[in-house]
Parts: sequence; structure tokens; C-alpha cells
Amino acid sequence: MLRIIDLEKNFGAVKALSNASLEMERGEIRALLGANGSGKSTLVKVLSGLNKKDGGRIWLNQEEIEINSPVSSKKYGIAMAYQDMSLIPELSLEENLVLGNEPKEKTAAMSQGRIREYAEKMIRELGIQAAPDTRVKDMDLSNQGLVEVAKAMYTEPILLILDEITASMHRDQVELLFAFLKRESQKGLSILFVSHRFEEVYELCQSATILRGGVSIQDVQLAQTPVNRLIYYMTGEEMKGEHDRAQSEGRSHSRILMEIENLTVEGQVKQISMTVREGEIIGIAGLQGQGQSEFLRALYGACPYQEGRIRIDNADIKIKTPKDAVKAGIGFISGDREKEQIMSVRSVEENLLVVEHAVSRPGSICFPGREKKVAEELVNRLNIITAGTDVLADSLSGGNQQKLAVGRWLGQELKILLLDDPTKGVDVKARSEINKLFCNMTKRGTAILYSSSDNEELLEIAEKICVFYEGRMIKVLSKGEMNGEVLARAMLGVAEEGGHV
Amino acid sequence: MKWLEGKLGYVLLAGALVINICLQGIGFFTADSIGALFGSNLPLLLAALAQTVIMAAGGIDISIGNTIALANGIIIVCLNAYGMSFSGSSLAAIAAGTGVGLVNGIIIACFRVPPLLVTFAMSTFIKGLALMILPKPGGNVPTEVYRTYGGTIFMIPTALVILIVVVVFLVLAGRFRITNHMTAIGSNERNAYVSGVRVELVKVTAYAAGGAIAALSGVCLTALTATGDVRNGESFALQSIAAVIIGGMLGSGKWKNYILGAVSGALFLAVINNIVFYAFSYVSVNYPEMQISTYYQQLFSNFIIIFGLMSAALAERRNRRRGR
Repeated sequence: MLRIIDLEKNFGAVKALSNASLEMERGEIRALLGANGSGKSTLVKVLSGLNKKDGGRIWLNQEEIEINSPVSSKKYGIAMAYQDMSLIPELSLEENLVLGNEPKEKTAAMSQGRIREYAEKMIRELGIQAAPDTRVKDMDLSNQGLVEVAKAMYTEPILLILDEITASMHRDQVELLFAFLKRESQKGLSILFVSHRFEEVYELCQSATILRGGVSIQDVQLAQTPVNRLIYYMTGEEMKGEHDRAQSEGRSHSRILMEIENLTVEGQVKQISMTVREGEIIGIAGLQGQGQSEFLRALYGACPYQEGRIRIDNADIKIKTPKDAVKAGIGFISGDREKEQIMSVRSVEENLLVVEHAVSRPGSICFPGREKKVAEELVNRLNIITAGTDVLADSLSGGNQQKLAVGRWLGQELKILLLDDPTKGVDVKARSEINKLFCNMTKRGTAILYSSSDNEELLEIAEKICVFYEGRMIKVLSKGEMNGEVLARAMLGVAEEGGHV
Repeated sequence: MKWLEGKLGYVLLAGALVINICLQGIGFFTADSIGALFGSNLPLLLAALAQTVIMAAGGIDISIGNTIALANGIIIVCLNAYGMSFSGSSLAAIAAGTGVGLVNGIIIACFRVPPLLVTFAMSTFIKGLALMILPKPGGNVPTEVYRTYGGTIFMIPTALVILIVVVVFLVLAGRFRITNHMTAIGSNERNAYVSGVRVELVKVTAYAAGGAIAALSGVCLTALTATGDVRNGESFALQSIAAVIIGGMLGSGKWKNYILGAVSGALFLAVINNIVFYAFSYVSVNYPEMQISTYYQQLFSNFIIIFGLMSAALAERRNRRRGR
């Protein structure tokens, strides 16, 4: 049904795609896999009309087509649900479904009825926890992702592309979504699923195409391909599953770095207490929205807290703004690159040096030569794939942008690093590199509070895991107790005893 | 203060009205007084409406003031030099205003030049055009025109009728696809584009519509002043922007709020001017030894406008901090 041959796309000197090919049948669910920077985002954006190809050919149902814009892509029956969403926050759910898809009814009343019907139908089938007139900005990210899918389905497409939309979704909503997608594929819808989460890929898809360096490396049938093989195709290297957990096991943590007592953020965090030791990695797990984000932000001064005491190195500290936190030796990295981490219109160099600049005395002089060297060293050390240190941060792929967020803290000798899902949407290779960096930081004494929506990651890297549920820490899993099942049960609120670290 | 979102304009207006009524007394409620209020301020009200259409789509137009002046000039010249009827001249003026809007829109949407720069440059260009058409103030307007404008239709001041017609028309326009697309673009242009909205077409339409409404404002200004003077237009540009912001439209996302917010913001400016005028005349009547020049009047009313703008900004900030 869909055939792409030798797709080419250049952004200036960078060849994002040079030889990408893909074929799909009607009703097929295919995964598109690849590391960050492999070109998969570019490829789907060509299909959805955001990027114009520089070379190659595309056939849809045996007819060659040219896709010039999102409008023309829709006309061909291609619909895409975007990773960073295409919804307008101020508008309601049904208004968003209809945007750009307006029905050609004669009277507003008739179409209003149809829109409402469709909205309700989608809410049922996808399990969206909202009403048709709820404003999108009042919904959490997980439901927004589902609305994004509903919007793509509105045009009754023949090809549905899903670009990492499960990244912010709750597990139970993902399951409903997958059931829906499988039903639709049986009716003839072809689905192209871009994701970094292997469990989901195996659950949903039958086949996969792997991209590496802008070129299609391999097409596989998932039933016959184990994960290691996939990773091998994606990265060209054998990947080891084991991490530096073994190394941190041997270390003794004696000195208490930070004590948190009864931290309370109204409505979100209820009386959380925690002791953090030098060089420790404490994992924070829980379903989305159980207070983990607010807890970390309160420690960083980005979220006001109503009650609680924070002591660092035995001295009481008041943290009201991030500046206070940074002065106290606390750093913060979140997974929300676009909104919180990366200054996309500034260069790589500026993004890497921003913390250094922020803590330096006003009036201190910057030496451009030295700064460029520092930036270049960091780029090498972190293996950041970029055309140079003076390109805009915008042009980097997600995983590389995240490395910028990590790099800016490396020179700071942090006491404590707070992580709020830092590897969200990052591919497996970059993820492992970033986690290794975190482990290296702990060797120098930095303690890490690591909140992640990926339980596998936490089980591998953390020494103990605190599970958040409805703003409380309901369980602390020590080394011996850490396994997937216990963790999952705790996350759902089933705990045997209370938790205090 | 969630209820405040998008309604700041009404609150400020209500406050201003109360003060005005106190100062002016019962005389405020006569048809004459209300007629005068709307009559002399209709050009500003329409300018604010023109601006809000453009700002709803995420743009801004500094050339509105001189478009009004251009419309004024065209009408006077058509009336006096070419002997056209008032309605004919008005149509010519509105066509010209739409043309200006189209040019603005095309340069902004298709050539991707920032609106502030384009409309600023066009503003000077349009003023030059207007001066070419009407180099010196002057010209006459038929008596029936300005009489009707200053009079009443079915006991309601004409200016108020015109305003109501325009506002109803604009609010009804909110049901159409094009205005939904405008607010979508104004809210998040990238997402609107990605959703299949024809961004360029919609932007051009917004600027063209703004230009047309601005020209209509020029028509009313001509009827009001009964003469032509190209210099009268300039101040409307920034005042219309202030009116839109005070109206508190920012962030509400609903077309109807934009329209009504613009009206309340412009009325706020009008009433403030009224208040200051009455306050100063009260002073000069009762304390004749204190001679306050009219410049202080302007200073004072502009100061209050800054206060209005700050409240609008603070209200939006509070909403933003509350949300996400």
C-alpha cells in the first residue's frame, strides 16, 4: 500500500535521510525504530508534510505522490499524531478534533451534532478521561496524547503515524489505545508506530523497519527478532544490559548529605521525609502525577512548598527559587526538553555554559576562546552529535538535546542532582550513555534523586526505590526487594507498610 | 481569580463608569450625553475592533491609525473633488482600507516579515499616500451626514446603533471556520499549521478584515468631524492596542471574548477621558484660581491607562502561574 524508496532529506550540510526505504501493507502495524538522529522523525515528518523531501519517491496505493504540506498529506489520507502534539491548549477537546478537519455541512447546528457524536465516541473507545467541552490545557499529558490520536483518526485516514505518543501516557491508557489500534488495523488501517519502548513495540507491532544514520538498515518481523538483535541493528554495537549498578553496590555511603522533613506541597505532596547520603542513587517511582514532579521541583525551588524542612550538610536551608537551590549545590534536569530545559534558539555552547554563567558573579568577564573549548570538550565527552558548538540547540535530536541538559551541570560539583524523567523519549543508546554519566557523577560524591516512568531503568540503576502514591511515599524498596512485580503493585497503591527513608 | 480571566475589561469599565457617573451626575444618563460619548468615541471603538481581529490571529497592526486617516482623506476628496455621494465615497474608502490590509497581510504571511516592522513601515507609507490625496486639512461633508451621525435612530443614538450592528456581525462571524482558524493561529501557530489550517490565507484575511474595519472607522470619523484632516489618524494605532490589552482578551482563546473585550477596553479609555475632563472642569469651575493646562489632562488620563495595562498584565500573570 505504501512504498517509499531512497528518501533523501538534507538540512543544510546535515544529511538527515540519505537512503531511507519503507514498505507497508494495508492493515499492517509496523514499528519504525532508530536511535536519536537516525532520521525517523524526519521520515515521518516528510510523510506528514512538515518537511519536503529532497530526493526519493513515494507511492501510495500504486500511485506516485508528492506531499507538499500538512494539508496535502491529509488529502492523501495520511494522518499523524505528534510527539509534541498539535493541539491548541485554549480550545476544547471537540474544537481541537475538528481544527483543520472542518466538516462541509451547510449549517453549524448539523455539524455541531456530528462533532459531538464523534467526540463522545472517541472518548469511549480510547478511554479519554474528559468531556467533549473540557479545555485541552486542563487535561494531563496522557489524555492529551489520546486526544491527539482521536484528532488524527477524525479524517478516516488510510495510514496513521504515531510519533512517540506513548511517552507521556499511563500504562492503562496505553493498553486501551493499543486495543483500539489493533481493532482499526483489522478494518484496514495501516499504522506506523515510532517509539523507543521495546515492550510496547513488541506488544503492538508485527514488523519493524530500523533506521540508522539516515539509511534503512533492516526490515524485520518482530516475532522472529529478539531485542538484542534490534538494538544491534539500531546502534551497530552489541549492547550490554548490565549497568554500573554493580559498581555502586560496593560503595559505602556514610555521610548524610541532605535531610528532608515533612515536605508538603498543597494538594500534591503530603509530608514526605527522606534522608539522602553521599553518592547514593535513590529512585522515585510511581504512576504519573502522584507528586514526584512537584516534590523534586519543591527541592529545586521551582515549586513553592507550604511545610517542611530541608537540611543540607546539617544546616537548615530555605529554598525559594532555583537560584537558591543552585547555590546550595542542587541541580535539576527534567524530561520536558522543549518547555523546561533547552533554549532552542541559542547555540549548543550557550546551552552548555548557562549554569556556569548563572552562578558566576555579576560583572565577571567571559572569555570566548575558553568557553568554546569548554563546550567542545563537553560535546566530545558526552558524545553529542552536532554539527558544531555554535549551531542552534534546536537542530539537535531529542537525545542529544538531553545530553546538553546534563552537560551543563557537569562542571558544577553538585551535591545533589534531581532528575525528573530525564531520559523520556530518548533512544536506548543515548539513554545508556546518559545513565552512565549519572553514575560517574555519583562516584564523585553527588547524590541523585531519580524519578522515572520507566521501571526497568530504575530497577537497573537505583539502590533503593521510593514509590509515590497520591502524594505520599507509600513504600521504599531496598536492594533486595527490587523486582518488577513488587514495584508495579506498590505503584498501584498496594503496599504492606508505610515508607520512610 | 479564574472568573477574572478574559473579563478584566468589564471590571475596569464598570469601575470607570461608576466614577464617571459620580462626577457627572444624573446628566450622564441623558440621550445627549450617551450619544456624545459613543459618537465621539466610535472611531476608537471601531479601531479597537479592527485591532482585535488582527491580534486574535496573533498579529499586530500599527498602521491602523493612518489607514483611518487615509479613509478620511479619500472620502473628503471623493465628496468635494469628484462629487460622489457619501455612500459611494465610503465604499471607496473601505475598499482602500481592505487593500491596505491585504498588502500588510501578504507581506507578513507570505514573506514572513515580522508584523511590527511591516505595519510600522506601511504606516508611514500610508500617511504619505493620505497626504498626497489630501495635502491640507479642509473639505466639507454634507449636513445630512453629520446630522444623522450626531442624531438618533428610533431614539437610540446613531453611533450606538452602528456599534451594535458591527459588534453583532463580528460576534456572529465567530461561528465560521475562518475565525476559529484565526484564534487557533493566534494561540499556537505551529500547531494550527500542523493541523491543516491554511495559515497564510487566514492571516491575510485577518489583516484585510482589520483594514476594512479601520476604514469604516475612518468613515465614522469623517461623519463626526465633518471635515478632513490627515493628522487625526495617528493616535488611533496605539490607543487601539491599549484598548485590546485592557479589554483582557489575552489568553482567553474565545472569539466572542475578544470582540466584547475590545469594546469594553475602548469604552474604558473613552470613559477615562470623560472622567478626567469632568474632574478638571469641576476644578476649574469651583477653583478658578487654579489654572491647570489641558496637557495635564492628557498626562493624567494616560497615567490611568498605564494602570489599566498593568492590571491586565498582572491578571494574566496570575492566571498563568495558577495553570501550567
